[in-house]
Amino acid sequence: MNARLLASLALLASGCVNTVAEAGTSGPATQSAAEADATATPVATNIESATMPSVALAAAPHVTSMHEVVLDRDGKSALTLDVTGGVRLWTSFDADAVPWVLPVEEPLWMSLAATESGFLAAFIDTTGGAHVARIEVTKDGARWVTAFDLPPIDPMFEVHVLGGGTRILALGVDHRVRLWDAHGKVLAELDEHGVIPWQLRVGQDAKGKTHAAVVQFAPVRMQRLEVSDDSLALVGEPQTLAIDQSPNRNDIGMSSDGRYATAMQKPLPKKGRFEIEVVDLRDGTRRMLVAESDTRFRPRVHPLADEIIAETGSGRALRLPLDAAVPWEPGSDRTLLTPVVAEAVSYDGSDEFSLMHTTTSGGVHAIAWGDALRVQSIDGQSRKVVQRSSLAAHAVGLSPTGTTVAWGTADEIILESVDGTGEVRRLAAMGGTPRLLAFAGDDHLVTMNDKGKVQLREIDTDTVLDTVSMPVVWGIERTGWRPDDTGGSVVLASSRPSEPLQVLTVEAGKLGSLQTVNPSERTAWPEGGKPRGRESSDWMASLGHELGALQLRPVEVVGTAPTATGEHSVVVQKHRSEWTSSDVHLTMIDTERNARVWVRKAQGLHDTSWSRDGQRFAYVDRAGGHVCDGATGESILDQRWAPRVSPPNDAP
Amino acid sequence: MHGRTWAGSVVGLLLVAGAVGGAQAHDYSASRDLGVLSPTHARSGAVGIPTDAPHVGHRGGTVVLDEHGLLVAERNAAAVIRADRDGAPVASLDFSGALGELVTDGGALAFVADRAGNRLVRLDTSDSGRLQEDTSVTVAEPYGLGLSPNGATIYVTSVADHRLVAIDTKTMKEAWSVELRAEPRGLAVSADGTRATVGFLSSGALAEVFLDTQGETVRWHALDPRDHVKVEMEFDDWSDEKVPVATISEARSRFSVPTDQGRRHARNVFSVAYVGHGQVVAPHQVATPQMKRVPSRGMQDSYGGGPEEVPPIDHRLAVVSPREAGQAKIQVSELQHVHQPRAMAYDAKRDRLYVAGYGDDDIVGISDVSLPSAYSAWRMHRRMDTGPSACGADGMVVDGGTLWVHCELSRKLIRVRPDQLKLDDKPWHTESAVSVGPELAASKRPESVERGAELFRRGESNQISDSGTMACASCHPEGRQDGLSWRLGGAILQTPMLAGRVGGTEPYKWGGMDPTLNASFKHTIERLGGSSLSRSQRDDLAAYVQWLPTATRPTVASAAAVKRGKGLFEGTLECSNCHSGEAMADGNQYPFDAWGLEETDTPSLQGLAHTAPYYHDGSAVDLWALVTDKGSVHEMADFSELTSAQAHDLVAYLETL
Repeated sequence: MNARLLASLALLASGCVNTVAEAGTSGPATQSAAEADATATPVATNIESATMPSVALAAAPHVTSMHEVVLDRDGKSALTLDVTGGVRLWTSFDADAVPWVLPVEEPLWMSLAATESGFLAAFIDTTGGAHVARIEVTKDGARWVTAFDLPPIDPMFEVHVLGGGTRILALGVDHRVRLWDAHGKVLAELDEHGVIPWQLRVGQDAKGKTHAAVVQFAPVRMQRLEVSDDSLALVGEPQTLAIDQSPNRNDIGMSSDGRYATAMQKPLPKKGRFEIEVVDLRDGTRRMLVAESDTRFRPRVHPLADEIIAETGSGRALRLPLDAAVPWEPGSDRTLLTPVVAEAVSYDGSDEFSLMHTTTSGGVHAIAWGDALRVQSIDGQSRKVVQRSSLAAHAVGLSPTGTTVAWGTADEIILESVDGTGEVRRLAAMGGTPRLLAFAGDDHLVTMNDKGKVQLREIDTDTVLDTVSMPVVWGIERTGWRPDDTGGSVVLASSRPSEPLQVLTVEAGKLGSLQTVNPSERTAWPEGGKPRGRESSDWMASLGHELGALQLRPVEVVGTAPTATGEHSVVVQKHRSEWTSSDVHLTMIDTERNARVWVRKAQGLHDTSWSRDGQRFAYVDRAGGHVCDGATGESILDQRWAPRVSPPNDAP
Repeated sequence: MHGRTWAGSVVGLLLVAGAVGGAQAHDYSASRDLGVLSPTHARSGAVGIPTDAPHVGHRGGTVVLDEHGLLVAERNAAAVIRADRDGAPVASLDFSGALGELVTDGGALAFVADRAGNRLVRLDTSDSGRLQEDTSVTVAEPYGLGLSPNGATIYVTSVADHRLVAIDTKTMKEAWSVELRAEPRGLAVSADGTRATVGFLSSGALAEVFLDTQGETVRWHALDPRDHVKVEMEFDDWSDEKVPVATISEARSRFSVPTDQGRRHARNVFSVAYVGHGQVVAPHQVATPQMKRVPSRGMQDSYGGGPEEVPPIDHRLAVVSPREAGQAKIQVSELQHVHQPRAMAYDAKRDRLYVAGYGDDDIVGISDVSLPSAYSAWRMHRRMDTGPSACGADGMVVDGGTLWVHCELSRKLIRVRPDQLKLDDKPWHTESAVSVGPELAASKRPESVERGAELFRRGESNQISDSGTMACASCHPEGRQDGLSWRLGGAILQTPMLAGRVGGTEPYKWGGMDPTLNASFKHTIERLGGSSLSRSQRDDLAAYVQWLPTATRPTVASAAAVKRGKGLFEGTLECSNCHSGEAMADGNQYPFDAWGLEETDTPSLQGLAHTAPYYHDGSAVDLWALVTDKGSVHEMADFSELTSAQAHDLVAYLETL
């Protein structure tokens, strides 16, 4: 006997008998558990207690592209989802907003409401399990507190946190509709014989009142669902809706005030014409709106209280006033209807890709797509954009004690404090693609671009003190930096295999002489990478490492990055079988013990750097910039984003 | 926009590494959001052998190691065998029928799940030359076993009751139990004894039971991927024609249609294990039962409906890492060349996990399994034996530098010396590192059943399916069902339970179009794209599925409710008019308004409690949904007059079938 059945039996035992409608009738059937029994056994597990799991939340942007957004009912906060399944809570949409990272991955469904002390959020995982949590936000930070979970034994289609966050409306895969309080207690359920809700529609009117409807299939029909504090009731007659696709949440809509159902059809895929039937859920009155899109894409339909917003995928949306809808009898010839002339509004970022990912609530329209979260008023007049540019760094350097990292991009050099002070400085670009970035002491930076041009720069004044061009033949294979007490040495390996290593010394505030390394002495400069044609094992052995002992097989070693003292080295490895992949493993080895210490993974590695004291290690790859503890490999800073580049915002 | 082709080019979201048709699969990519909430353990980078290795008895298996040697659960011989370190039998203890797992603490404490006998049996293994029963306790169809670190409690999964049961090992009394969900199998207990994780055949979730709450707190970790398989026709420059291309794309927006098409589901978690840093590993298969339909090469229908080039099933390993707030981070990697991964062994001293394919007998060794840098260090790719010498790896255990592999089908132990094999070794190089022991016990099954069992599990066989992607056991593990509904031609059809349902219940298939089992197998293999089996091979398959035991009924909670429900079933509702006889099926077909089927064959109701979802299309998620008329079939019976109490009685009865 499953948990749900036990719970239902508990309802029965407590005198709360589910109303089973008479066959063929469709009258209202209120099913309030709470009326009869305030202590009914809740279905949800882990009912809130003092021991409910909680965790302090950190604030950080998404680590990759966003593609879903869910607004709260007032349109003032949002949950966003990225393509790797990460979820963030946005408590504001200001340009400098940084969202909270939630301990949720890959939800199929998200819902959010603001509460007196923060937020209540609900999620459905990929197996249908529901997870509800309070998120308490104070000036000191944010905390996730699990409110209750519903196991996948009782899988859910939808969970909606209602306005105020005190009630949750849920639709199970078993087609039962349930109303929970914020602690997981079942207040009411709708479980009528033969009533098979497949979807819900939930809206909120201007006064904050919740409106809901159930959608049934075969035939598609919508019926009002009255939701009060502790009861659910079907109201009125189900209204059939004609659509030309499988039932979905775009073509079948409900106005935010719960008065109308909308059913969209787009009869000709290559034409812009679309038709929206507007059905009064109270009396079944039908009207029709016909409009012409400026694209062939299926419009994204947002039914509001007095108008329908239809986004076309061109960045425009048609505002279709309900008043323009004409009376309509099912079966009439739709082709005789003339498209209405509609006002258009522009929504930034609304294109064919983001179209089915946009949402409206509380008078705002939102898109979370790529790196940008765009929240605009329905009329498109006021806009807020939170957008971050990727940190496209190709070179990295760590200061001698690792407290500052320098990211080298094609456009600038960014100096960032690693110790959390948030201090960021920008220096002028070095010109071309960066290939080397190194601290010569605390006060100077050495840079090299893809043409081999080396510059010595004073950090305080951002002044170039000296420039030398190193010879590059067929391009640059590898660069390296070896610091010493007076400055250090730049190492350059050209792409032509026979070309010897070049070394340029830096000392006393100027660039020194250029030297060519004799091939027989090349192993003395492991910063220059592996000589062509040498097997990993030979090369590693020449550096004093034995691959077998290090358990580095079956991977190919493609480079090393030794510390200044040579006591430790990061070995860059690539799986032989992954020749098409740019993924590599970075393994830090203790060269004295000939033992591995830690391993990290990088995607499309560009550059690495050690702090001179060997305490910190940094690298840049396709995913951004990273600084980690040299002894443990633990992350200290993972920076996917460049310091903010924000478009101007117009406060609504 | 975000996706990759099956040919392996990476565009965006890539949950797993290693493309279909590629070489080894071994990559533990940083698949999901790394975020800021990092795992609370050392999976973030430090290398080193984990110091929190699980205890010997943290999970059971068909082969375990104690102080005297090896103990083997010979399921087909219905016996527990003591074997020496040459893999030869030393002693035997007979049982009445099927067995589940064995477990030992490495010393004198050993238990076996007497699955057919509904008992957990404590064994007396003190004598290295003799095995005997010590005592036992009733557990409904026990399967998975795991001991607490101190050996005071044994945890057992009950297949029949869908529960995890805790039993005091000294008194052999049940301490507590918790309901989980249908088809629980293997379990593992964490090194600190605070958690037990359970895998399931027909669910994409793992249950993490917090033992200190006596099962009151259970966290479920979803293994189903959010991304989906998207099939599109694209112009191919080489062939100068449009070809179907499948990509793995991010899940559709909730505003898009259709939502089920391309959804992927994790299934068949036969075993779970703890490795270092409190992490759980769970090999499983991922099925895509409903792809966009692309009929091809004259096939009327195919499993999943997608193009031939797109396998509807692949195999993966999930690594579940605990983190704060009871949540978990899950990383997955494809397990290529391991068909139906089922057996596992963890070499804690090397942080290496071995995973074996029940369907193809291949084994991979994954080094640094507790680290983000985990990689396939080793693979044993033998020529797959068929017929009587086939293995069917269902258990493994590490014994110092030796890996013991137990073969369910041949009832032998294979000794493997992993250090003598490299990842790149060809199949014929493996023989020197492998020695096969003698048969441990004679099977109690007829020869035809043995042959059929081998065919049923056989993966990587073009005879069975296109490119050998699917085996019969992929969707019917143990002859049961995966809990999914598959696109087949124009219909969506639920995977039926075979065990206990195919003897004398002709015709077969949901539409009743196959008059005999032999014809039904021929039809199924056509759908699978296999090159076909001979008639005698199909007869062997028929012998096997007819031999499969009927699923055990759950323990009855209320005999009175069952009696009342039976009254409704046979009386008012007239269900027994069609669901009649021993198999509860009349062999007739009825013209229900069932999408994709002209007529629906009356299915057997044997083992109904274990076969959710219900109806031909799986439209009723559970029996309650069925009896409240929330499925897609409305003409079968008139449930509208049932009171809620009667509906509960009816469900109680149906669960006893």
